[in-house]
Amino acid sequence: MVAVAALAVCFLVGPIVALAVRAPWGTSWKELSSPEVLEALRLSLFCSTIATVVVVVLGVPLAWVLARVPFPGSRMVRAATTLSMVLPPVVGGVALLAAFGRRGIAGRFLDSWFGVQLPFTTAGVIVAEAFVALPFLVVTLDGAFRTMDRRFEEAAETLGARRWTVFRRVTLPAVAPSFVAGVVLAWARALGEFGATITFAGSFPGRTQTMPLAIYLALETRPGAANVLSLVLVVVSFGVLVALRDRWTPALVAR
Amino acid sequence: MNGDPVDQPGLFVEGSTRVGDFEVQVRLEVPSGRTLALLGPNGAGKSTVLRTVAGLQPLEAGRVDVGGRVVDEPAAGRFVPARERGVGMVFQDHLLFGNLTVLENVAFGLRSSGMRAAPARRRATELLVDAGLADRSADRPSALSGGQRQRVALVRALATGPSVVLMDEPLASLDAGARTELRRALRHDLAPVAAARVLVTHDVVDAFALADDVVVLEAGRVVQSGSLSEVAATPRSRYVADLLGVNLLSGEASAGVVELAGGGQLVTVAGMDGPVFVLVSPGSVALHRSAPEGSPRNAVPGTVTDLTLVGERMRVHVAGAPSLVAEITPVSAAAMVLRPGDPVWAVVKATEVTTYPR
Repeated sequence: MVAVAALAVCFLVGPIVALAVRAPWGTSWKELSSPEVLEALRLSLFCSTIATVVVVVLGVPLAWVLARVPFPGSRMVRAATTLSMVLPPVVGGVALLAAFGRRGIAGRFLDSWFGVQLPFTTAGVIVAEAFVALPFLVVTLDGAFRTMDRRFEEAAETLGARRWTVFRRVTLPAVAPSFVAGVVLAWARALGEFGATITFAGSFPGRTQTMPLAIYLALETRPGAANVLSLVLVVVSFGVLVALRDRWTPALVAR
Repeated sequence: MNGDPVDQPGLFVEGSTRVGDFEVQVRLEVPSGRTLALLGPNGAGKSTVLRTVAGLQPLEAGRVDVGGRVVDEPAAGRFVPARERGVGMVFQDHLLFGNLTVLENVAFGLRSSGMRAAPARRRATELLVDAGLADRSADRPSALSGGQRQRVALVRALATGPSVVLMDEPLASLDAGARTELRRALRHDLAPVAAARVLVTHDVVDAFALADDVVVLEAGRVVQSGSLSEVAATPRSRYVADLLGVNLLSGEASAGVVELAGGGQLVTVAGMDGPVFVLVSPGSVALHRSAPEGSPRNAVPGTVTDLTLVGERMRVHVAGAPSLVAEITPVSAAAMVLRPGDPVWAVVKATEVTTYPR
């Protein structure tokens, strides 16, 4: 078991190390400070963060309803809402085009009624990222809402708390660890999103070309640059993970 | 039980509810300022009764009045949710909010009732000072001892001035020393409170320390209710008799002789006829190694099945018709060389056999 576990660790960590080893350290600063790279990084961080906000706004109520409100067909709804998690991202992109494309089912009305066009815009990137990231938060929170000790909510009710107060001051704190985990997962998924984004939003520098797209395109012309950009994503992802951990875990474990 | 729910608002419950296939039927009446002990074995439905009063579980039929107001009456389509009932509840494992400080826990109900943050904190501080817990205000519940947590839970439940206070085995999770201390603390905390209180327990000591009246619940039904002294003097169920450590038998009385349901008979001086309970205090049962001389009215041959030391008395269980528990001094037990399996005669004077109607 231990030997296999060690092998698994090598398998997971090795490529990341290779990424660092093979990076052209001499020219890397120049690659990094180029305006296109900074632009892609800025766009990536912006889009993934806004997408995460969308995910929270939509995902928390959805998870709560799935966990707490019994309705016919709830299992079907649960399966359907987690579909985009297992769907190939490209398929997700095509589906988004069918729905929100200029001639899509809903996109047609968005365009003619509000003049809003999502495909090949920054907003489109956010939609694509939220589409694939939402289930990560929903699945995590749904489980937490189900397994938490509901008697704390009952105690709050006997103290005269209204539903919203109970939710805000008792339910949410109780599921906070799962909430944070779900948000991090969703954000990471949004940050790394490639297939749905390139399908639905294309790859326009400064508008829809996020880091993963920039890396992929750079790989054909400047492999060294792709390597450095990948390292940047590794550092950013890792940094967020560590920051959230240090900030949240102690407060959450103490109970 | 004194008073009528209309004249003396407190708590009145009469009705039934269901958890899965288990039906609980209950009738309780607690005037303001009095404490009712709801006594019964595990799974009797005690917590379910509290949940119906608190509004966490609806009645199937019947009515709940809190402070003179109907809060649950299915026939009238009336159900007041928990948050609007004015019922404070202390849960067995306290259920303090772990993410809030002691002060914030106590202020929770006040804030929920619409009080602003600053006055709520002031009031919560006052209440904690009264309870002698002011120095723990800033602590998280996890930093408190078990007894302190239960007291904070009580202070939290009392903070909004509820007209009914429910306590679900608040002492159950504590060790013996902490229980004694908490019992005293609960008496202190509850003394100035005008609310009607219900204390769920399966410890008769808690009932004696804190309650005025008793309702005994077994398998979802009330088997006895009355004042504490009444119930202690004339227990009507095996469960209560065991709690009190007395011999409770049942049978048919006729002309001073009771034919017991489990076989055998006992002679009594009371001239009561018909179905009766028979109470024999273990202290009035004498034991002899051989058939007693003279002509005692009740001499039952049997076999020693068990010996236990309770305080300074030896309790000797004798299987026979009827089976009886005798309480003798360890010295006489040693002098008689009593061991499990030994034959023995249990002797009870007719004047020590109490009967009351079943």
